[in-house]
Amino acid sequence: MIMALGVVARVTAWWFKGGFHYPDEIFQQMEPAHYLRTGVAWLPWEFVRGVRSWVLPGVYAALLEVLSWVGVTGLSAFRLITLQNAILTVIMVPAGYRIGVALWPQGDRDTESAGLSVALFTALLPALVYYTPHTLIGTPCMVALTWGYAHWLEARRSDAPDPRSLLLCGLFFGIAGALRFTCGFHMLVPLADLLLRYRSRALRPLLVGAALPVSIVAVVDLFTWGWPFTP
Amino acid sequence: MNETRRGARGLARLGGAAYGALLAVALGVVLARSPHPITPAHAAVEGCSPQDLAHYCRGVRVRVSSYHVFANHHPIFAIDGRRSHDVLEKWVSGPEDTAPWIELLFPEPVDFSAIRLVYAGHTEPVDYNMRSYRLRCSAGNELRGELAVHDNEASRAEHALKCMGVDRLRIDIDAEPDTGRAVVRLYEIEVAP
Repeated sequence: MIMALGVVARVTAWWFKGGFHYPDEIFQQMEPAHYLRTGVAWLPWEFVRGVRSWVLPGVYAALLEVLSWVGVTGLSAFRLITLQNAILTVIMVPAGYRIGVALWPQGDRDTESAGLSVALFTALLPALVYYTPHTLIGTPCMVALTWGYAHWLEARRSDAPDPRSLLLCGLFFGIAGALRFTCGFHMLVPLADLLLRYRSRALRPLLVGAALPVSIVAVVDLFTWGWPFTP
Repeated sequence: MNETRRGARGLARLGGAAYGALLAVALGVVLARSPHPITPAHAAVEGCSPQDLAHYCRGVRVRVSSYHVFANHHPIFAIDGRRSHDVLEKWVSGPEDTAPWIELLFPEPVDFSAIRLVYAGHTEPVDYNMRSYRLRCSAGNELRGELAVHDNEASRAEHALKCMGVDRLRIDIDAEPDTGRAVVRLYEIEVAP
């Protein structure tokens, strides 16, 4: 029910949204994606110097390609991609639920209500809903960070480290950081907390979890810019 | 309840995997294609530019081996009907492109007798003028005319080449690495009836 509300809110935001909020959603994402498909684009300087990764433009290029197979191109394709982004962000709602449950004292009778409250907050927070139908790099980062937080809070509930939660925490933080390294600032508190709490026992599962997304970006950078993690 | 939740989770994972696989295939198609840039299709305007059959307002499109994308030297500038002195408004081949070419695609068969090429020298150093290139006109795959140029020095080069009923004109240009001719700088192509 809450997820359905989240979908309705996001589709409404998408329906009434104008053009882009930041130029980056066009020039850092859609133009490079269009370049991959057609060889034509207006590329910003970041793509000369290797400041940006081609990973997300690659995903958008694939989406544009799929849409072109069914005859959807141009502005219509862009609109559908922003709709997809809006709807996909609804997967933050279960993470919101788990954050609420993890924050509430364990075993309390209101635990369920706490989870549902945060889930509702995640589904309907206006500022969050507003940014979902955009091709900003922050949109997938936001989803990954939310799941990273959920697993961090779940991991820190027990005295002994929970390898699965730590692994997933590393995976989602890895995705967020790999997409945009400035997302790393939002991980500093959780990572410091986990390392202080569990010392080196937390380090291995976190690093293993982060290895896959970080490696993907490193390999793509290697092939596109000639060196991993350019610049 | 747990059964339903497990089922929904499994379904979501399956959907996510299928979606990811579809995107991976599409990305593979995109990367394998390695497209040659082509100008947008414009509807022909009747009576437009009778002296220049290559003008985009006649519905002509131009395809190139590459262009200098970071400097925005789009190939449309070569058929915009302007012998511009603005150094932006020219087609420049990609810096990595060792065998640049440009191809005019006519919307319907045309007859022409001459081709004029406006190189960078008309407003920039003459060292940028391309010296060696080959012009070929064809109808589909059938070659109807060919001309090789090896010693061009002119900034505004005019070449006589009679072509009848052709739908494309291709120019293969010899880039000269480590010189001003390492990339092609072409301000305009004009095709005279």
